[in-house]
Amino acid sequence: MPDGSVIGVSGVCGTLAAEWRDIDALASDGLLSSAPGVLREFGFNRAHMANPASGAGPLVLAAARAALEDAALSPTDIDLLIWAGARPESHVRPPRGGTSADVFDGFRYQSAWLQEELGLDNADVLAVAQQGCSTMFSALRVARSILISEPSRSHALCVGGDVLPAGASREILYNVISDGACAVVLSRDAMSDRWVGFRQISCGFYADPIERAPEIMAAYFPLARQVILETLDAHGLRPDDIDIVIPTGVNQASWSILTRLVGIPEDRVYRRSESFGHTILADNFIHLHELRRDGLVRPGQRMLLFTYGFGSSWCALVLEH
Amino acid sequence: MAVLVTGATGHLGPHLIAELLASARFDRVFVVARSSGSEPAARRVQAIERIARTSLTARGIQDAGGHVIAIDGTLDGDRLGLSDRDAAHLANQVDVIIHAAADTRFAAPLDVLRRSNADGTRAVCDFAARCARLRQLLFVSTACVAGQRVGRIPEQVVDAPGFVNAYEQTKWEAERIVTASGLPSRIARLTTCVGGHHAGYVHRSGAIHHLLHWIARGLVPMVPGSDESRIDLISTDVAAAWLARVAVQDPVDVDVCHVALGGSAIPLDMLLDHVVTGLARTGSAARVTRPLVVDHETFRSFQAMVRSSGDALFARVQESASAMLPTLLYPKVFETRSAEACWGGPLPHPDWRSLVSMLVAATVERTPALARV
Repeated sequence: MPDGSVIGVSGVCGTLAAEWRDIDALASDGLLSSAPGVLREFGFNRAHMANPASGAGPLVLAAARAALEDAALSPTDIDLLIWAGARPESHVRPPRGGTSADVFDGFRYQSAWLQEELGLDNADVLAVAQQGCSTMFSALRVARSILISEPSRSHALCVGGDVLPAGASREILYNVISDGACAVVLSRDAMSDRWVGFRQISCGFYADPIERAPEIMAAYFPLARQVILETLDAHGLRPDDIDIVIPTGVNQASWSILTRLVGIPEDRVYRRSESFGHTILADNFIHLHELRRDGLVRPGQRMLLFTYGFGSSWCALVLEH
Repeated sequence: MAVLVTGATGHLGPHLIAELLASARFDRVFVVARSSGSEPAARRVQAIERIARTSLTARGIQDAGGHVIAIDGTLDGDRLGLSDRDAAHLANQVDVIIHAAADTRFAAPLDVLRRSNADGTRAVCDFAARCARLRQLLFVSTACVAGQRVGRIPEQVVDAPGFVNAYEQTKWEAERIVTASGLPSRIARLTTCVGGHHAGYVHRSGAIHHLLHWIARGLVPMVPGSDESRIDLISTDVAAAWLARVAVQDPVDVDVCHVALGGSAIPLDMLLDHVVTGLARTGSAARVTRPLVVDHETFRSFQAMVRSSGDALFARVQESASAMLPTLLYPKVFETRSAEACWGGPLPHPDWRSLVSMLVAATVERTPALARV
């Protein structure tokens, strides 16, 4: 039975690969499908690119350490570690020798490695996958559910990150992709960013993002609007009750349209001064980290986080600072 | 009497021919058609006649045995592309002209549509002027000539409103040509004809069918409109029956009639709900998301985003939809008093739900991509 505890975000951090290349350079290297001008119109100007040989591990490790510090927790305080990765390769350590010839390479899990690296000696470890860009949202959902159903647990560390392989296209469905990671600590009785509500709509009809690309584009807005309004409605909120919309890094014009569809004033969308593209699953939490760090969110303000992930899932999360 | 019909190979054609035959008022139905590629006009007209007579048989209606006569002609000049002798021979017989020919491609350029819709109408008027026995030129226009007007639309010739597309404009221009001709004429403005309600038959698809096709494919996330937007959809059978009935009623002046639902036009939200429910019931293989009704700015932003993306299929959908959908931003209700007076009472519109269900079923049937494997 739920024990009535408040679950909230006690710590968060997002990290981007340090190296980046601008749109024109990416286009010259044949890593984009659309013309640079079109992508600039959509708000993109660069992609952050990590060393593919290292995988997402270093980015995630850095984010996790910073999130623990933000939460003022030591590694042994963590009861649960959940690893989120949008791509299957993000769940295993980079293969020894550079190729995955050995079946055992598939069992060298990133989550286990991270547990050891951080010294999370008291944590149970699990992972969430197969939700594309919304994987991190589901990791948080699972973490919260475990904290509620197992009152002896107090702190869950959710981490996620993806690094594209060498030579991979840096454009997916008109979005420029960066390598990045994030870490979020969910805690019982957290004093900030209380979990208000969450809703997910999953639709397997859109499982194939190549074959169903036009249908996904068509379904994006109606289902985004639906999941957001259902989340708000389930918790007695109106669109105007949302003070900040924490977006992903996808096409900026789409956020203008979405907020109009939902009825949230467009100026409540958090806009970073410099776009970092789309890190697949870390965007919202990179933005949340910035908002908290820079004092841009006041106590009592409600934040809406939304994302769409291949598979497909539309997810909305409301937090109260 | 003899009636001359243009546009019989179009959407309205078979329905109109059927009603004219059933009316028993015309012993000769001259059908102007152009020979097309390898298909001579006579064969095209025969095909239309076959559909018409089959539909009458299916409805248990005995037609009066009128003859359908193909005229291999065009809407150019005052002789319909015929020789002097043939044109004169035809003109001497015709009592009524029903001019239903039009280019209904909403997205076509103005000059292309003007050639068919305005110049073609001028040619028909010029021919009509040669018809010594002429009792009526019945011009099949469209309620779309109301363009960007909002509110109640009277059954009158009106000054040019703003137009959403070139189709609206050229049909308005055609009306001006008819009214200036001095001929005994009647203008029938039909709202959106979706197909025959008797047999669920759609002869040729128009903009509404294309839009429904895209909705059925799950490719229309939003349409422009408001709480006041209404869709005036009518059965093609009802439109044809009305035309056949008034064809034998001599006009008093230049009558203008709206063959429309008028005050019973369907609220856009209700229509979309019914369409989506209907599609779900057909067991279509596609996943339909109910289009959102959005304001103009939102719709324009979305269109701009689609254009910028360069996605070919989406661009096609938006081009197809954008020629027609903006009309929804100008909510209007068509007066129908004159049309009802001609009919002798309210028009026998079928319940819109059954009409739309028929339309949905026809759409799924005609779309292979929606078939479940």
